[in-house]
Order: sequence, then structure tokens, then C-alpha cells
Amino acid sequence: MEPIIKTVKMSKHFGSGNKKVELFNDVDISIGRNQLVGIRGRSGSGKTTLLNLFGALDTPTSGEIYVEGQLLNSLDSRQRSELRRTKMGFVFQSYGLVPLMTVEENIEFGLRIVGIPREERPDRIKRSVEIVGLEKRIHHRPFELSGGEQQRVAIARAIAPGPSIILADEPTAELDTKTGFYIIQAFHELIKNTETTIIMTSHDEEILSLIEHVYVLEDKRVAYEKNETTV
Amino acid sequence: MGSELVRDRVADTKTTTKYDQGMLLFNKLKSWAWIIVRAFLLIGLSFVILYPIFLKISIAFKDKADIYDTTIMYIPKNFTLENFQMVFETMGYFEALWNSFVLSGSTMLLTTISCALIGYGFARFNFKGRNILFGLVVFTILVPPQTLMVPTYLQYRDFDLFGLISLFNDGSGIRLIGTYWPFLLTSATGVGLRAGLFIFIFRQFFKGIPQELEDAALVDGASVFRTFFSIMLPNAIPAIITVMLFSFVWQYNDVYFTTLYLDNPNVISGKLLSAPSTIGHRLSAISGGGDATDPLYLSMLVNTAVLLAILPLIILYMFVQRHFVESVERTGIVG
Repeated sequence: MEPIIKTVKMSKHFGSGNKKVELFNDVDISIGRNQLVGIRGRSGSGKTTLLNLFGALDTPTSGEIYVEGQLLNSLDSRQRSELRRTKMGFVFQSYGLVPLMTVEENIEFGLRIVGIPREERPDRIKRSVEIVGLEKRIHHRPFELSGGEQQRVAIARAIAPGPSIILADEPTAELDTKTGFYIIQAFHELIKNTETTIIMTSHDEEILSLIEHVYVLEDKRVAYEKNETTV
Repeated sequence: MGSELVRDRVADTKTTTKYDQGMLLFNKLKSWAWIIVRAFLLIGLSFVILYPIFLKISIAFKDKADIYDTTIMYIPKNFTLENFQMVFETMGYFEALWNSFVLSGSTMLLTTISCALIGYGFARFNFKGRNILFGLVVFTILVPPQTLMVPTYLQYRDFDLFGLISLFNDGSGIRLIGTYWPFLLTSATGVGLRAGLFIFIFRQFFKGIPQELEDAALVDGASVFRTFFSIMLPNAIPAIITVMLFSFVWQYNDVYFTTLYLDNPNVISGKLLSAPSTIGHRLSAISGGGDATDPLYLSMLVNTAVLLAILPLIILYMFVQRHFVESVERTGIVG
């Protein structure tokens, strides 16, 4: 099957001259569809940059990135925005929920921006809320929820438009281990029930041990590791 | 005849005094009732505000052994400072507090200066498109910043000014994510945290200052900036204090921008957000791994962290409370 994300000799450098920092050199990876993928690395190793490259938020210094067979390098910024809006969902460390809106309204707001017709919205909201297990909280506002619940709302908002890729940057960083496990569980639910691919970064070994496919950033390279998970 | 009349009169005055006494008693009762109701209301309101703080203080001093002691409600049997010590260490409290104060203090100053200037411009100068521009300012109050998350992030990950920076920097902008620059730049240019509201406050306040003051300054030969700094600003102290306080407290409490701009937010709000996680990790490390952390003990420590996070604001409030109440009254801004 065609991989959802593929890189060919991708390099990313910052700065120039003495201050030049080489993050990756000639990275070749391909990520299969409908998987939960973890990216591991120390802080400063370029986890976020890798995710930004996949999400067309950043461009590589050299090399190519394909998303669903489409070469990212050739797209202009408008096409990139279009791609991000239609195919990708983002979950940041910052939850970014609008404080005045309820859970339901926050998710609907995301759908409205993507341009999902009004009739389809209630169903999508219901489905995404069910996947993250927040049916009882649908009429609450963000400040009435715990950190883990807020993060799950952010995930529900990201999955509601039905993107093919979800990019999550440290989604469990501010949560205790148990709540972090729930998030991973919700991700597993999601790849079981939908066609989505989820790529998330983390520095937490315990969290990463629950993820089957892990890419490790080390020495400007990206190495693949397969975990035996029971989840 | 005469004596009867006198008697009547006496009786008359007697009844009136009786009536007056009744009135007096009623009034006395009424005022007492009012005092009681008022006291009741004030005590109730204070209770609602103070109870959570007292509860936090009471929990923060409890020992681990006190959690399961059913005879303890509020006053712990074994006073301890262990919770504080633990939280100080895991949160890196003083460093985070220093960073928070530097960040909030600098954005407070820059926001106040920029918003005062902008507000003055809107209040006193007639130029083309003023109303449209002010409409845009109001628009920034209405549109939640959360809707602009990805653009905001991109803006500062690859910061550029009309393509000038990339000219001298090998074709790419500067990476400002992870530094305080995004906060400083936005607040210095009047688009910082809730700057729209602050501009609005200043505009309203400057509009309320009599035009004659400025006319007099003009006649005396003051320039626009001289008028602004020597006449308008000294008169706008209530507005300045309001804006300063709000901008400080909101920046101190803000989680959205700190987690968006900083990779590793080493400020109080960010540390508090991750407190359950870091303290939990520390506890399981102490107990030698495993999931054996006592959730009640963890929540006790998190509670202490919350108390420590709000403590600086409470102490600050004690000093500026008088100005706060006065200035909020005079600028007519609530909450």
C-alpha cells in the first residue's frame, strides 16, 4: 500500500557558517496508513521540526516529502494551507480551546472553518466526542474540565473533520501518566475505527512503550523501532 | 373648660409620643435588621471567596498521615512544611516565579505604553478611516486568539518584516519560538494579550478629559507629545493603573500564549499546568517506579502548588488593592 508520508533524502539545517545546526541529514522514511506512530528524541533533537515538516508548516533544506503521494516541495503557500485544512488535524501542547464556547461549540467551530456543511456537523461532533469518551461533558466549557479532558476535546476537534493525518506535538506532556494512557487509548480507538494516521511526539518512555511504531531521532538520523504492544 | 382643653392637649401629646415611640422602635428594628442582613450578605460573600483559600492553606500544611485521619477536618495534627519543600523542588518555583515576573512585568510596561498612545490617538485625532480602524480594534476583542493558532505559530517560527530579515539571513526568517520576543513584540505594538480592551479603556478615558486642558496647553506652546506626557498621562493615572494590573495578572495567568510561544514554558502558569504530571513522576520515582502513587497525596501536593501559584498575586493585591478599587471605579470597567 502506498505510504501516507514518505521522505526522500530529506535534510533540514538551521543557520549558516559557524552557527549552522544540522538537524537531519538524508532521512528516508515512509509511514504506513492507519497507524499510530510515535516520534522519540531528546529535547532539541528536532521532534517538533519533523512534525512541522510533515504538516507542511516548514520546508526541508533539501530532499523531498510526499504526503499521500503528493510532493510538498512543489506546493505554494496557498496550496499548503489547503492541504493542511483538508487532510490534516493538529493537536498542540497548547489546547487552544476557545474559553467562551462549550465542548460542542468548540468542535463545531473547527468544522465550520474546514467548511463542513451544517447538516453534517451534529453527527460528526457526536462521533468524535464518542471516540474520546466525553459524551457527558459536551455542554461544559473548557475551564470546567481537567487538563486531560481539555486535551481530549482538542483531539476531538482535530478528528471531527475526518483528516487523513493527525499530527500531535507532545499531546501528553502536561498530563500525569494515567491521563496520558487514556489519550493513547483514545488514539488506538481512533485508528481502529477510522482511516486516520496519527503521528505524535513524546519524550515519555512509558507512553512510547504503548505505541507500536516508533521513530527515534538520533545523530541526525531517524531510526525505526517496533514495539511489542499488547494494547 | 380651660383645664379640659389642657387635658385634651396633654392626652394628645401623649398619644403622639406613643406613636413616635412606636416609630422609633420600628426604625431601630429596621436598621438592626438591615445591619443583620448586610452582615449576613457580606459574611456569605467573603466565605465564598475566602473558603477555598483557607481550605488550600489548611491542606498545604497537612502531613501525609493526616489525609486518612477522620478526626481531622481543617486543622492538621502534624504541621509540616514538607509539601512546600516538595513543590518548591519539583516546580523549580523561584526560577519560574522570577521568569513569570520578568515576563508579566515587561509585557505590562510595553502594553501600557503602546495602548495609551494608541488610545490617545483614537480619542483626540481626527483622521481618515479612524472609525474603521477603531472597528478593527474592537474586532480583535471579539475574535478569540485561539482561532489563529497555526498562523500565530508560523508567524513567530519564521519571523520576518516585509522580507527584510530573510534578505540578510539566508532567505529565512528568525526563529522566535522559545524566546520571550513574541510577547515583547506583540505588547510593544499594541496587539498583545487583550490589547484591544486596553486600547478601548484608554480611548474612553482620554475622551472624558476636558478638551480645554489641551487647548490651554496648546496656547502655552506645548507640542503634541508634550501635551500627551505632561497633561494627559498624569490625568490618566486611574486608567494606567487599571491597565497595568489587568495586563500583569492576565499575563501571569495566561496558559495559551505561554505554551504556544515557548517550547518549555518555565513560568508559573506553565509549571502549574504540568504540575500533576511532574509531581506524579517524581512521586513514582521516589517510591521506586510502578503505579503505586497515592492519588490523594498527589492531589494534596498539586493543591499546594496551586496555593503557591496564586500566593504572589494575593500578596501583590494586598499592596495595590486601594488603587485597584479606586481605579476600577473611576474607569467604569468591571471584571
